[in-house]
Amino acid sequence: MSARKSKNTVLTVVKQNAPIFYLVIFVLIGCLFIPNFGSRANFLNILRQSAAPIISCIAMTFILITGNIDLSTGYIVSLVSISCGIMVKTLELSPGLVILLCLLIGCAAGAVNGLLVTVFQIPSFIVTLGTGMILTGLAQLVSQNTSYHDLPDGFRAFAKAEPFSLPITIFYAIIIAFIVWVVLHKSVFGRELRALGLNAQASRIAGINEKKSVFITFVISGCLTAFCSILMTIRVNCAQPDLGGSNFSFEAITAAVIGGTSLLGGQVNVPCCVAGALIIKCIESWINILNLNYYLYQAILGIAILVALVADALKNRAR
Amino acid sequence: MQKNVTRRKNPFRKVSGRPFVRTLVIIAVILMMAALIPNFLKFSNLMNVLRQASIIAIPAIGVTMAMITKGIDLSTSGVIAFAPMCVIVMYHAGIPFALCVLCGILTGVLAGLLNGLLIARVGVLPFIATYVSGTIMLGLTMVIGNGGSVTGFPKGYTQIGNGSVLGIPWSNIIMLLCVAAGALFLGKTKYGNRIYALGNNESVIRMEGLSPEKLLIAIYGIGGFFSAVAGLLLSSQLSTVHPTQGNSYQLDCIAACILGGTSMLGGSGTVINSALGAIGIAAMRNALNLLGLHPYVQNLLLGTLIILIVAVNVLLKQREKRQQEGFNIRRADT
Repeated sequence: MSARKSKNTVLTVVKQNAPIFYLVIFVLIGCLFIPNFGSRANFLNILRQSAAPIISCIAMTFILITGNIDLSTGYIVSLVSISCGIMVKTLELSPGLVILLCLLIGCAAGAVNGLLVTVFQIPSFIVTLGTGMILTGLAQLVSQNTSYHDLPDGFRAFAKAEPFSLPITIFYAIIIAFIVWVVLHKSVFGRELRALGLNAQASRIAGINEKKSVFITFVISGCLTAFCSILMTIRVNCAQPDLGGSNFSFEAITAAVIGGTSLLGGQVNVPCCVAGALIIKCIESWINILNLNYYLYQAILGIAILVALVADALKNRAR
Repeated sequence: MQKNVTRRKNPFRKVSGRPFVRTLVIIAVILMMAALIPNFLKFSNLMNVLRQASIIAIPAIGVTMAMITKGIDLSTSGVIAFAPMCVIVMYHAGIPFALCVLCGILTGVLAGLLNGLLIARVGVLPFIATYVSGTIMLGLTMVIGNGGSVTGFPKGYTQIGNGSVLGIPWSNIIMLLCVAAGALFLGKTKYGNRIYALGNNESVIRMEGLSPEKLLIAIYGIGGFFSAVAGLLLSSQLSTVHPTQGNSYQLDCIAACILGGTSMLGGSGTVINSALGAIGIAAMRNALNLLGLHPYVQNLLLGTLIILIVAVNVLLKQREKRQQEGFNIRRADT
């Protein structure tokens, strides 16, 4: 009796954390069949590339839990990137102040999204489609056709330091992932979010303030996206108004869906989201090493998210 | 305790819910732009506007049908890029051009059918299914074309996009034909009726013994067809295929449908109004171009416009629902 019970538990654990096992499989196949994949340099490279996608995936997860979506994250990245450049180079503010202001810009963008979704009750995809256009237009206006290269070292140290010879950005990502895990699984706010995603009507009757919670998720997502933008801007050492864009949003959504987050909301698994982001970066690494057509990456990502969506939809048919 | 529910008058009632008045507003705005901007009313400029509008209006037929059924089609930009890329790559491989064109349109239809399958049979939400399939199409376009533009259409082909007969560009004639066909299909045939039924009251379709799934698949297939036609037309206008050529047109297409009165909540909207919305959007972009505004600024205004119109639409629907509930409460009290 107890043997059968433990077998069921193992199976459930695997099923619930499937993306982590997929990641392990991907890494194993890579190490076995793809030359240079298993090298320390390559792993370091993947980690360096994954920090921003992990954080953006977690930001997207916040929004997906409540059954919404944010198609404007890539354009928030653009706006924050060029604002960052202006603040650092033209206004010459101190790095700490620049980071704070950039996070505030991200929060403001998220707040606009949140307001339009909660107060006006417009479907989130059309809201974020519209605000995305507005933000990219704003970024271009603000930039006045200039990009800012060669950011000062004092500012770049924020993301360029390498404690224990690992990029500091991955530590940021792990810390943020841990904080988000705590919030989502151990706090009242997190429980309310998951309840809202599973059954909005019941949650409202139970007294959860849906509008306030959804608004806060959009603000948090905007803030995290702004953080991503700072990391990305420092990594490419160029503040430009077309950093990010629609590819960024698509990668974030893909990573979240591959990581098991359902688009209908309610289910979330933070380690799996991190695994989802790492999986897509592994795929990118494969394509780079094997010298395949780089544009295959987007097509493969699309097929991967399609497969994950179909699996998710079939699983949720009963809902 | 009797609830005193008064029926508040809708302050927007003169503008809302009446497509005819909405088109009058669009025409008024166009006239205003004509008065304020020099060169706007020149015949060549107006034909230019209509030529741009054709690329917006033709996919809008499919998007209107999708929005009526409470869905949306975000894959138009992907098909607008993928269909002509297939055509030109096959043409360079030596296949006769007519066959290439046929295959290009077929890829659009297949993409649309894939969308429909995902939405109807698998149960994926329309916006994410079409968003993902659109991105896959875009990715495949870049793979086939190696990320850049591809040129090399046969000589007569660019005449379709740029040439005219009796002073009217071929693009406009094609747009007229497509819009007429779409409007007749949606408004006058029983299939069109069933599409409206799908958006308003799906159970009626089942009671009739039909399958709403097959209808949805067909709707998105038609959308893919029109997106492919628009893509081929755009490439003939530009005489080149670029992977991101459809991006701005996709947003304009959705804006055109919303401007034309198609509700995001489903159930209403006509092809002709969406086409007029497309002309309005093209005219607006043309006017802003003539004023010297950068396309990104135009996107800013367009995004604000989309949000405004949808917000007004949603608010009006909510007000209508509350009035209806109030009416029902009064009826229950008596």
